[in-house]
Amino acid sequence: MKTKNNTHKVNISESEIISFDLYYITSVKKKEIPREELKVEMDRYYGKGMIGDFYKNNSNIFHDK
Amino acid sequence: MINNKDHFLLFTTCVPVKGHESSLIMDLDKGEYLEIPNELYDILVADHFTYDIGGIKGLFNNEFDRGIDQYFQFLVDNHYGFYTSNPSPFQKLPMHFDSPHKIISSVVAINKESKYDVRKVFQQLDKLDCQLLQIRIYDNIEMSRIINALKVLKKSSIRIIELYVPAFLNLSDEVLKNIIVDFSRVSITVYGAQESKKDNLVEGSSRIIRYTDQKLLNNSKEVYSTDLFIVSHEMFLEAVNYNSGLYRKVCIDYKGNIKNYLSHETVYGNIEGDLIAEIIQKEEFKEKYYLKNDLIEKCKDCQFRYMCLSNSEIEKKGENYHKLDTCNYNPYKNAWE
Repeated sequence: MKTKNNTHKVNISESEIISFDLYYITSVKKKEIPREELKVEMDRYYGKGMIGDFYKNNSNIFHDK
Repeated sequence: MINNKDHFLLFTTCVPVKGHESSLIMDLDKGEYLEIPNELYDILVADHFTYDIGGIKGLFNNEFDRGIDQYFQFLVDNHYGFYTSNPSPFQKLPMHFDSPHKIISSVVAINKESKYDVRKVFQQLDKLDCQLLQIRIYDNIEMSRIINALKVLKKSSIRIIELYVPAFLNLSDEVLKNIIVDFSRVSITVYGAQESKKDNLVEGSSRIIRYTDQKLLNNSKEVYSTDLFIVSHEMFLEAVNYNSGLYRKVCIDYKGNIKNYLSHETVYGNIEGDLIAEIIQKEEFKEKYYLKNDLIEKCKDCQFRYMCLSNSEIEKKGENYHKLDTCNYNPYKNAWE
């Protein structure tokens, strides 16, 4: 979708197939995060937390009503 | 007022399942099921894309017109289905199931005779992307052995680690608390306790330690009950295509034997000399994956077959498959016995 009203605000070439907002957010406003920083951030959460749900049980060996 | 020119459709995720005496509709989105008579099942699985409501009534010789009106309206009122003048945009549920995990679930048994390296087992299961791990401790063993082995899973992709410990180990609250604090994916069940209860040992956390007065033995059998039925998309699709208990499951018994499930007699290798990754590639090991409930006597006539989890051994008698551990439900009488 072409958003003609907004094209004058930033000087970028607009793709015919990508909506303006999407292009603006992903390409113009894109914030580069150094990979090393990203890795530290991922390590902080890696293996943490209990994801207590799964679509089935392993076995129904106990049954407390 | 129902318009006979409209079509009645069940929502795509509401799936009718027929049993010998009774049927049901599984609502995969809501995780519920609705019991229905077999006659209604036959009406619901007629070709509603081709026939409008008037046409469906005609297929049954207009004998059930009033019942069809009432049931359809009931199903619409309870969000199982809807009326439409144009059914063509609505599609049937794709029945394909696949999983990215080479092993979905595993049970590892340890007693005082166990000599195998538990760490190596855990490492192998992690590499196979196992999601559910159950560790059953039967005897008075040194807990530090298990705790050390669990350390290799600190950064693993295993989702849930269930640790079953006997009450006679007399582990203090402090020890149990330390385990669940140190290993965030571990849940502990203390079996053979004086009473069944749940203890919240860590303040401000939803993590609990479960105590049960039930016993766990080498030959303990699985429990079958309506409260243990699972109605979900994944469970349904897995059960339609595979044996939902044994599909991509590998178990290690207290001797280190590699099996489909602990209670099964067939041994495919031993953890001391074989790699799990190699054993699970064997065709004879994978054979049980494909023995779904639709192929098993009794289960194939049960309306609960796509929500019931069973790890039972399956034997072939003549051309028919039978489960060795079966439930108390009799689908031919529609009754629990």
